[in-house]
Amino acid sequence: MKTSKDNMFKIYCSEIYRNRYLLKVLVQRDILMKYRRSALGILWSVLTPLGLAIVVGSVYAVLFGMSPKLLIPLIFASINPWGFMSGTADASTGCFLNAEGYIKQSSVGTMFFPLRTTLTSFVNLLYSTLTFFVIYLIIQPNLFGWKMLLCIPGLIIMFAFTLGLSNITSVVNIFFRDFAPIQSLLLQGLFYATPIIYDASILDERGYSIFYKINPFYYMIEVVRRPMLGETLPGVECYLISIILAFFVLTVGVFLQVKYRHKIVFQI
Amino acid sequence: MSKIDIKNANLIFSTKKDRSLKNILVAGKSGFTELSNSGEVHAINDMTLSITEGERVAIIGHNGAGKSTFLRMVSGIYTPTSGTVEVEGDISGMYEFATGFEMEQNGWDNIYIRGLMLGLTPGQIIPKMREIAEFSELGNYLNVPVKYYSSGMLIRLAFSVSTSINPDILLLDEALSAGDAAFIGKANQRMKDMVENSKILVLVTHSMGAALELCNRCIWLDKGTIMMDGAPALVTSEYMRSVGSAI
Repeated sequence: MKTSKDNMFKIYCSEIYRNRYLLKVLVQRDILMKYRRSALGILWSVLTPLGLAIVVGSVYAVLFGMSPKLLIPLIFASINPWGFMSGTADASTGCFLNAEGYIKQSSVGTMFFPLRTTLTSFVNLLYSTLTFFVIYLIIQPNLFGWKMLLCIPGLIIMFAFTLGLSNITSVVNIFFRDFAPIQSLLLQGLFYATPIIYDASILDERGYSIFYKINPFYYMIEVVRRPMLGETLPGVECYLISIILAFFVLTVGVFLQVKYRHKIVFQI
Repeated sequence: MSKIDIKNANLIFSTKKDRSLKNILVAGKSGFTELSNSGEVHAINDMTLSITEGERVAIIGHNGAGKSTFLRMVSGIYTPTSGTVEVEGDISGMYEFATGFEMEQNGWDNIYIRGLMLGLTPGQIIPKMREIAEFSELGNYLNVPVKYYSSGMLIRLAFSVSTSINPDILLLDEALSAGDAAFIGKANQRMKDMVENSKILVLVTHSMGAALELCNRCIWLDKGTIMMDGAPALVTSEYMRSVGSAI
């Protein structure tokens, strides 16, 4: 084996590039297989978050007397990015174990499997994001405008963050199998601690702003949902924090993938 | 010029596979925990070996002798714990079976995916698919999800793909044990053809017949150590003698 002193990003990218065709086939397959034989198929990736948004939005509308017309889009726009991040983190814990056949049967390596998981979830996110725009166009046509295009850089930042997360959780779980249930529990808690099904102002009013201000997920959700809702854009500070967080998490993730690339196969 | 060069390679498996919360919490309690947990399997033991072009090497030995591990180490799937493994040339391999298939996909899709796994591009694999399908003789079964295949049919499929790409180095693990007689004959012929183009073949086998018929060098492994390395006739007879004396 060559003991390469190459830059870790170079090692990472070259392995991804080497496996690009296999990556594409596997992502396509994952998307098709997820809802295999269900009557509505891929529509479920849209209907599930939409249904949740309608349920939560309606309950809140009744409980707090808020307008469901405003509430349901807000919740839908927030649940989509949250579902992408938490779903990917959860799925990534099994990404090497599920790929045992590939890892032990060929020289494809291990590094592109977290990316496979992230990309599959990302395609689902894109479907539900498009659905959001279609519904929003019907109920809030006057809010449509150029601001919404800024969700694209937001999605890119969140993708980088989530890929980093996926790279980290996949490696941690392969060496420490208790991690998956611990993480599920943490994510469950974070779902309520992050302003997803309620507005951040509720925490501000009670003096708990610190809860979401130290929460990385909050910034990722902000840079995606604010442009999508077309009203106010996130501030420069929010963008800066989210970019720094995404870069940091991705760097740690790539570092772990490269450092443990020869060890993972022995743990499967 | 293809070659395999192994110098002082060691490969040690740690049998303590998973670090669970329980292990960590309990670890501090007793001085014995660490000792009993440090169970290691020395799968390849200080191996130095070189294989050059034109060599057809049979690897024989008991179950657990390190044969399959050796093959995976050559292919780069396993990195040696210490020492070096240098390989020049493109590798195509077929290791243990029943994994590496997409069970829900049909035979054609699996040919395509396996081709990509071996490092081919879509442009390289698509023109070969018809020939691969013909060699496998699976016919209409190729349109059926491979979960309905028998183990022999899976082997036909895997072997047909792995040998279709004219690799410099072909690594086969127990390749043909589940194939039927007709296919074994055909596969042996194909391996002979491939090796005639001055490539390297490494075949892990329990069949002394295959070692004698296909190979011009034979290595007997035991506990990760090379017991004997030489002409197939000599090594297989020595190996059989040792097996006989053990009984």
